[in-house]
Amino acid sequence: MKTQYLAVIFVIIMLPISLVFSAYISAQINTINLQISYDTKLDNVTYDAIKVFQMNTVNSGTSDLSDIVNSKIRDIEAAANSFFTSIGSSFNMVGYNSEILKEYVPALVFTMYDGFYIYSPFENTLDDETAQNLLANNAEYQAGEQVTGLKPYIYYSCRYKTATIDVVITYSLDNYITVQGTVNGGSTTINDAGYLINDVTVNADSTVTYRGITIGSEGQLSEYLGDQLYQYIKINGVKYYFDSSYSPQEDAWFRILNGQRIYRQGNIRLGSNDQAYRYYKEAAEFRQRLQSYGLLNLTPANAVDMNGNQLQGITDAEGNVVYDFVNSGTYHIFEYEDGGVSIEEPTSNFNSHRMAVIRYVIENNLSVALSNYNTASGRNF
Amino acid sequence: MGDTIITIVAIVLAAILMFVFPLMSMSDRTDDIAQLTVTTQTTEFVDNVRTTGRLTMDDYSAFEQSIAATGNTYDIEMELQVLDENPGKKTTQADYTKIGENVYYSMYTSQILDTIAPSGGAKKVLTLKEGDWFSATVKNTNTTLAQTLSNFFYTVTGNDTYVIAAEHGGYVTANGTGE
Repeated sequence: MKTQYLAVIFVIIMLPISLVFSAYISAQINTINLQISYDTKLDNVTYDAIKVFQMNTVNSGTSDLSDIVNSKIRDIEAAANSFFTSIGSSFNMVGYNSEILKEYVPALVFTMYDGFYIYSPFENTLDDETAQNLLANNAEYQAGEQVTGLKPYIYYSCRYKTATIDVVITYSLDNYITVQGTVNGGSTTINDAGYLINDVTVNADSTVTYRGITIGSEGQLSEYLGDQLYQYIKINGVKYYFDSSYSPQEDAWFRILNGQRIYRQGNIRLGSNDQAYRYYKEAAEFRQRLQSYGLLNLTPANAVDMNGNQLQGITDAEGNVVYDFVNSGTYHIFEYEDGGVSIEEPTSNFNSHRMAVIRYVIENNLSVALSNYNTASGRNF
Repeated sequence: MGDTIITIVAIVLAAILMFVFPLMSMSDRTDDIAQLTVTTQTTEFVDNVRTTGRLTMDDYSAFEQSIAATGNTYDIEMELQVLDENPGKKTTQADYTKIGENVYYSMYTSQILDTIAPSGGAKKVLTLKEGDWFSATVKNTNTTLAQTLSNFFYTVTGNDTYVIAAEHGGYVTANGTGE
């Protein structure tokens, strides 16, 4: 056979094979590129939503305390709205707008300091009277209609039940807890909160000793703004500076927002700062109260759900046990010092239990939201 | 006769294999590089506008030149959604200070260009504020070499199909100043 015949036959055999392989690998590469592109867009969109929430929170100011509860809900809803606007714009080129993409987003979870919001689709249910008498046919939301909205705030809380104690403890993202319930067999109702701080000793001379360091009141705080030194006081996390050249002097306190000075009218007085001393003193007193309630003996096995059934454990997607409430040993959750590990350490029993409770609460409620989404959308997520 | 035909077939196949396929492969890689460049430059341009709150003709021209350096011609579309604080246009429940629950009005490419480079006037700076939304979309308008070669084998219908495209957008996070 001539060489040309062999060459042609070789090409006829190899060319289709290489074309098919090439097409297959191109498809794999395009898939990976698309995944990366979607991930990047989702990251940008999530960043936008959080940035909007941050700007709304800052711009709403701290002076209007009467609206602070509603303000948080509105900030979250505005951030969710911004998320969908942003995602609609990011995918606009491929033909999806925000309304279409809403159907592909099962839930948004906004985790806050001591709880979280879930923004997800749910079925709007109305009682008969409302459905028949109060709403016209052109009302915004009808009964049985699929609505996407913010569900009520859910705290990172867990119920603990023993023979004499029945309390709900709400955790936060740091070591602050809230305790509500009954102790001493139901005869004493408690509603308390505080920080869990170890190794604090309150001294008689209005000082505290924390980890060997003595903390008392300190002189007036001051800080440079530009090249000028200003005295300041921190109220609710906001620094108020004193402008000694401003008149009248009682209105000379200002805060900085977006590079601008916003002067405040009101009574703030200069003086020594004892906030640190009071912080540790209250933490030491809170520890004594926890001991008097008998809560220092609580174990993970005492954790129950809202029906009083013992919590079992948390497993990951592969079925591995991440945290076992029942068989995690007899360690006490609020052990301030256990084997040299302080309650404030990330490896402490308290911290691992706190993380487990937060994860358990989020997973439970998120699975309900996803189940509603699956029912409504017909998809399995 | 048979030998001649098979020789011609072999020469044509050899020409295709040695010249056309490598050329197609290289032109595809060139398009990939152009795509990456356009995506990066678009992201940088939009993020620069978002984080400074200012759009100038110099920024826009620099962006145009950087994507033109890939050797293709592009159609740039910009959209600016301005947060409207006119009380008359608010919905009943909206708070004008809340980003995400209020009314926006849009400015598009020609309006933006008229603002930053008005005909017969000095160049101006378009200042944006926190909460505004800015996005840019870039699509190529010429037929790239890869498109030309692939059109020998198949044709994608539609005169305005593009190969290289990028878009990026987001909320403005700073109040711009005029200087």
